Amino acid sequence: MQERTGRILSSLASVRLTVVLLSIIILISILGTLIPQQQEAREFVRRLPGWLAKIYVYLEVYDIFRAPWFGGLLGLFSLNLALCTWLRFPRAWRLYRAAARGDEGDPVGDPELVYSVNRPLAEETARVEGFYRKRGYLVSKTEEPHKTRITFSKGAISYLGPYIIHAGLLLIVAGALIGVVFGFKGFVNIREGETVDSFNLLSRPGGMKALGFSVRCDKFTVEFYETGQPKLFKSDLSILSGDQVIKQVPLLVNHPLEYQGIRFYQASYETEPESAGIIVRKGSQVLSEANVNLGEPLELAEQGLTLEILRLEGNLMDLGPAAKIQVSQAARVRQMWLFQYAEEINRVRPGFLKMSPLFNTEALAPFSFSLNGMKERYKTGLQVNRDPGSPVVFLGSVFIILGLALTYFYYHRLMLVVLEEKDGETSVAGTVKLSRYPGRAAFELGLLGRMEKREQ
Amino acid sequence: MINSAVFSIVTFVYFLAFFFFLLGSVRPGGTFNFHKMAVWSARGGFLLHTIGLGIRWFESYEMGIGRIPLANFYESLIFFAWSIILLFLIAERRLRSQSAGLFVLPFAFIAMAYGSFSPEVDSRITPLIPALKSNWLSIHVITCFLGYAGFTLACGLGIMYLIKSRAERRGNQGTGFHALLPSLADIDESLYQSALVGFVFLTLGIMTGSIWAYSAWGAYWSWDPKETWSLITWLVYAIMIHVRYMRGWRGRRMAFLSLIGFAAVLFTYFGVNYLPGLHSYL
Ligand code: HEM
Repeated sequence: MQERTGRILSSLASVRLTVVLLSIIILISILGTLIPQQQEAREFVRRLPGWLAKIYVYLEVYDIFRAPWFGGLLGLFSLNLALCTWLRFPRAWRLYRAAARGDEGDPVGDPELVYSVNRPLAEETARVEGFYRKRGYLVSKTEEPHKTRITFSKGAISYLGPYIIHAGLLLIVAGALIGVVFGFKGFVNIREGETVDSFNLLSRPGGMKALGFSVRCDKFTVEFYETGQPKLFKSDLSILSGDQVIKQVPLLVNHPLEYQGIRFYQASYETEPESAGIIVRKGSQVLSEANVNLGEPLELAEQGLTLEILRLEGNLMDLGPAAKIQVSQAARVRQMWLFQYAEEINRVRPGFLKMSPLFNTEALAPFSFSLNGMKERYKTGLQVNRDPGSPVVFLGSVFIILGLALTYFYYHRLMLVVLEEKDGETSVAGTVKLSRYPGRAAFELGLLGRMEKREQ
Repeated sequence: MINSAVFSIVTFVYFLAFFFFLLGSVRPGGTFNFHKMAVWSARGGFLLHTIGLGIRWFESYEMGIGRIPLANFYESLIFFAWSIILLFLIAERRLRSQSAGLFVLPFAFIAMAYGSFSPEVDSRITPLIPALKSNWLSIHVITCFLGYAGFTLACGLGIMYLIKSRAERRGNQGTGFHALLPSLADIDESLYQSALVGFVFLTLGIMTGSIWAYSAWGAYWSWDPKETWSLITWLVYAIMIHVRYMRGWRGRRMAFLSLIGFAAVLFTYFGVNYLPGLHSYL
C-alpha cells in the first residue's frame, strides 16, 4: 500500500509528467488563440454544426482560459511543481551545505597555483586565508605539523537557484488565485462635474458595488496629434469623503490612481450633449435665445410659457443634431423634435419634416421653436480594480529573476590550497576541485600567485 | 530620412557578410581569407547599424517627437536584427566557427530587408499614442527582442547541427564544407547556451510586459493572443531546459526543439497580428 502511494507520489512529482502537462497546456493555449473567444464567440458558435456547438458550450471553449477545467489543469501542474520541488529540496540543501563546507574528494588535476616564499607557515596561511575571505569565500582548514590544507568555497547557493525559480512560479500561481478569489474588476462612467460612489462589476452584469468613498470628474481632456492619432487622455479627478475633497489627481493612461486598495485606470471616454441653444419666436419676433441645460426648464414668465429639453441627440437619423423638447402654455402641452439643420433638410428632402406631427415646430402657435447648436460634455470611462494578489505575483517574479541569476550567472567553485613548510620556506599549491566553470575558477585561484610574483 | 538610408546600407553590408561566409565555405583556404572578411563586414555593419539607431533617435527629436526608436513594427524589425547580430558576434568569438554566420546572418538580413523594402512596413517616425507612453516601453521591447535573438541564434545552430549530423550519418567524416563546421558537441552546447540566453531575456520580457500591462490596462495578464503566444514560446523552452537537464536529451532532439521554439517565436512576433487582440502596436 505504502509502496503504491510512493509510486503515485513520485510519478506526480516527475519531470516526465511536467513535460506532458506543459505540452497539453501549450496545445490548449494555441487553440485558445485560434478559436474565437468571448465577444466573438457568439457569432462563431452559430456557424458550428449542432453537436460541435454543444461541446463548445459545455466545455466553455468560448472562454477557454477561464474555464474550470483549464484551471484544474494549471492546478495539476502546480501540484507537480510543488511536489517535485518539495521532494527534491532536501537533497539540494545537503548538497549546498556540503559544498559550502567543502568536505568532498581529493584534489584532482594540475595545480593552478604554485609558488614559494620565505615566510613562516602560519604567516603565509593567514595571508592566503585573508586574500580569499575578502573575496567572499568560505574557508575550512585542517592543520598538520608543517602542513596546512585549506578549502575555499564560494557560490554554493547557486545550487538552490532552480528551487528559488520554482518557488517563484508557485507564488505567481498563488497570487493569481488570490486575485481571482478576493479581487474584483469593474468600470464606471463619470460625466464632467458628476460624482459617483459605486461602480459596475464585470463579473456580474448589472451588479453594482459601493466604493466606500466618492469620485468626481472635474474635467476630461483629450488631445490629438496632427495625424489624427490620440495624444492624451486625461481625467482630473477628485476623491471625496462626504463633501470633503481628500485629494485631486489627474488620471492618465499608464498612470493609474490607487486609493484605499482600489485602482482606477483611464480606459475610455464618450461625448454627450449637455445643453442646447433654443430660439423661441412669436410670429417673426425673437422672444428668447437662451442656452438651455438638460433637466433645467426655461420659463418665459411674460408669455406663461415653459420649455424643457427631454432628449438631445448628436446625430438623429443621420440628419445632424436634434433636440426633443416639451413646451407648455396655459393648458396646452406639446412635444416636438427640433433639427439644427432644418433648412438644409427641407431643401434636400422636401416634405420629410411634415411626415410626423412630432416634427412640427409650430404646433404651439403662435410660438415657434428652433435649435441653434448644442454643447457637448465628456464622460470619462474608468476601469476600477482591486487585486490583493498582485504583490504576491510581483514577489514571485522577483524570486524567478533571483533564481535565474543564481542558476545561470553565478556558480559554485571549490578550491583546495595546500601550504607546506620546509627549510624556512613555505610552498603553496592549489587546485580547483569542483566548478561548473573550471576555467574562470582557475583564473581566480591563480590571482594570488600572480600577485605574489609581482611583489617579488 | 537619413536613418532609413543608413539601414538600407546596413542591410546590404549584412548580405555582403553572408556572401563572404558563403565564399569562404565553398573555397576554404584560398588566396583570400573570406572568413575574416565576413566577420569584419558583420562587425562594420553592426557599427553602422548602431549609429543608425542613434541617428533615428536624434531625428525623432528634430521632428519634435523625441522618443526612443523602439515603438513600431519597423523599429522592432531593425532592433531584432541588431540583437541577432550582437549575439552572433559574441557567440562567433566563442565558437570560433568558420561558418556559423552562414546559418545566422540570413535571419538578420531578412529582418532588415523586410523592414527596409517591404511596402507593408511603414518606416516613418510617428508620435506615441497614450498607451505606449511608458518607461516600460523600452525595457520591455529590449528584453523581448534580445530573447527572440537568442532563440534565433539557437535555431540557426540547430539547422547547422542537423545538416552536420545528417552528413555524419551518411558517412561523411568531415570533408569539404562539413570540415568547417564545429564539432557536433560544440554546436549542441552553443545551441543550448543561446536558448538559455533567450529564455532568461524572454522571462524578463514577459515580466516587464506584465508590469506595464498592470499599469496601463489594470491587469497583468489578460490572455490576449500576444501574451498567450509569448507564454507558449516560454513553455517550449522550459520543456527544453528540463528534458536536457533531467532526461539527458542532447543533439538532434535539442536541434528539433530549437526549431519548434523558433516557430513559436515567429508566431508570437508576426502571426499574432492576424489574430484580434490588444497588442496591435508591434
Ligand atoms: C514553467 C515552469 C518551469 C520553469 C520555468 C522551470 C525552470 C527551471 C530552471 C531554469 C531550472 C534550472 C535548470 C538548470 O540548472 O539548467 C530548473 C530545474 C529543475 N526543474 Fe524546473 N521549471 C519549471 C517547472 C518544473 C516542474 C513542474 C518540475 C516538476 C517536476 C520541475 C523540475 C525541475 C527539476 C527537478 C530541476 C533540477 C533541479 C536541480 O538542479 O536540483 N520544473 N527548472
